[in-house]
Amino acid sequence: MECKITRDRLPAYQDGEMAEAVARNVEEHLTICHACRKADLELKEAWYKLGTWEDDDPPEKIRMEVLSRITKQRKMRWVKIVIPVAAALLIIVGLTLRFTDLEHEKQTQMPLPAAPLQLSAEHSDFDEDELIADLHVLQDEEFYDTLEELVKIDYLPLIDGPQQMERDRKRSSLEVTLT
Amino acid sequence: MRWIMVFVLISSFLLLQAGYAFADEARMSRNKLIWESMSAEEKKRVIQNYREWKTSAPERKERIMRNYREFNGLSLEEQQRLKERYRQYKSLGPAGRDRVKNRLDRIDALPADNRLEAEKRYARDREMPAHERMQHLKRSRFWEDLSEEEREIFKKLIFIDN
Repeated sequence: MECKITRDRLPAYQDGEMAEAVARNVEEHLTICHACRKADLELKEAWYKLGTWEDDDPPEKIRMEVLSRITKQRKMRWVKIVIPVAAALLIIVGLTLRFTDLEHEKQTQMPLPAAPLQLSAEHSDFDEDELIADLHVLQDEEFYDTLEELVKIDYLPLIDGPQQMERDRKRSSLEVTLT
Repeated sequence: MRWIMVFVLISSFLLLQAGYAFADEARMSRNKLIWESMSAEEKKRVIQNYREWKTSAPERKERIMRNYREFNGLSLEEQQRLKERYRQYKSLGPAGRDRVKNRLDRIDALPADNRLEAEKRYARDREMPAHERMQHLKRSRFWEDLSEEEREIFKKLIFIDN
C-alpha cells in the first residue's frame, strides 16, 4: 500500500511540487524500498530521454496518408448529417408532390355530374364543402333529432304508477309463497 | 435519455395530430363519395336539412351530435331496431306521431324514483322472449289506458323484432 502511494507521488516529487512533509515521507520510503527506488530511477530516465528526443519529420508517404484520413473523416462527419436531412427533405417533397398530384387528378378526372351543377345554380346560398363535412349527420338529421324519443318508447309500458308497482310486488311475493 | 423522451413525446403528439387529420380526411372523402352518388332529390333533401342545421340553436345541434355519437356506439342489431322504429314512426303521419309524443311526455313528468324503477324493469324486460314481453305489456297500466287505435300504433313501435 505504501509502495503504491509512493509511486503515485513520484512525478510530483521529482518536479518538486510537493509539501515538505510529504516529500520527506517519500524520501524515507525510497531509502528502505528497493522496488520504489528502481521505479524512481526509471521515471527519471524516461524524462531524460524525452528531453533528448529529436523531432523527426515523418516520411512523406505516412504524412500524406494521415492527412488524407483526417480529411476523409471530416467529410464523413458532414455526410452523416447531410444524408438524413436530405432524405427527410426528399420524403417531404415527394409526399407533397404526390398529394398535390392526387388532388389534381381528382379535380381533372372527375367532372361534376349534371345534377350538382343544376343544384348549385338553384341553391347558390350554401357552402358545399361545409355541407359535405357534416353530411354523415345531415343525411339522417331528423332521425338523430328523434332518437331520444325512439328510445323512450321502450320505457312506456314500464312506467306504471306506484300503486301498480306495489300490486306487482305483492303478486310476485304471493306467487313465491304459493309455490 | 432526456432527448429520447422529448423525441418520443413530440413524435406521439405529431402522430396523434396526423391520426386526427387522417380520420377527418377519410370522413371527408367518404362523405364526398356519398354526396356525389346521391340523386338530385336526395341532395335537395340534404340541402334542406343543412339549412335547418345552420339556423338551429346550438342546443339542438349539440343534442343531434350527442345522439349521433350514442347511436354509433350501439350494437348493429340495436341500430337496425331503432331505424325500423323510426320508419314506423314516420309512417304514422302527424296525428299518430302527436299521440305518441303525448304518451312520451308522461316519461318526462315521472318522478326520479319511478324513472329509475322503469329503467330496471326495462333491463329485465329486454331479456324476456317476445311473447312474454307481450303478456307483460298487456298487463301494464299503460296498455290498459290505450285506445284500440293507439294499441295498434304501439304494437308496431314496440315489437319491431317480431
